Amino acid sequence: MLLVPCPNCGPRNSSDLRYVGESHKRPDPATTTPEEWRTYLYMHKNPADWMMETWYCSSGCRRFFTIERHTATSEFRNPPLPGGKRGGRA
Amino acid sequence: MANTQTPVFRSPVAAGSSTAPATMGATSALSLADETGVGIVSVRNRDEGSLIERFATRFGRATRSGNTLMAGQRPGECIIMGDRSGVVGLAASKQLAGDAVVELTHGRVVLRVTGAQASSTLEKVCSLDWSDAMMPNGAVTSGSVAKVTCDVIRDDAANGTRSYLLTADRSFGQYLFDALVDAGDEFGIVVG
Repeated sequence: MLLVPCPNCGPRNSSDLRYVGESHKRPDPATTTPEEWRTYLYMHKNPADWMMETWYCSSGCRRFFTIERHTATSEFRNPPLPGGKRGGRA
Repeated sequence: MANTQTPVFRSPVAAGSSTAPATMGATSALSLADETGVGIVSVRNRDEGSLIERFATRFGRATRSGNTLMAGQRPGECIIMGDRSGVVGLAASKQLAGDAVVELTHGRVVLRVTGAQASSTLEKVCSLDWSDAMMPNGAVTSGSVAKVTCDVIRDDAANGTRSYLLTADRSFGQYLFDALVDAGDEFGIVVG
């Protein structure tokens, strides 16, 4: 079982949340090129290391938040503060 | 031609539809009651502080004032439960610009699990920690109960008996009711 530390609800079973995916900056749709947009949508780093991810607490607070997870060990670190959306190192 | 019939409220839980023991209404260590008729109004506002000030509740906590229960379900969102006309009037009297006020009376099922074995029953169908330390009287949480997303309020009886109020989307009412009866069967759950 994967325990995801939701900033509002506390540690929750991952089945109570929805994994949204790798979190990275969204390019401006008005100025981006098709190549950049395609990279944003489909290309992922998928490292065996710490990675910023977005999760949605679908059964709890119904908030999106980002958090760091080690993809090899599934440890979490640096969750956002309660009420916050963005975790990770500043 | 206008329909002049008075709307009749019907619970999504059909009486006698479950496999519950026939001892309905009997005193037991564990009971399940359908309280779907209760009025529910949801109030949302981005300003959490504004809700705390007006409704005397915050995210994760519930306060009771007579027959009215005010619960902070999510950050910036609370529900008011009680007599239907009363809760609608209360929400309207405290409404400010920026509020999203929605009456949910006919959209939610409300079930109450009461008794010393109530937490043991919920443990079977939900992964949350139901201990007093994590879920004391007046606590509010949301989670998956029998795979149904529910809002749960710990609302003990006046005599101190442990009691949980569960609300979920109306269409899940019968399934949730049956799932709770099934989970509570080993503790001798009675309906009513």
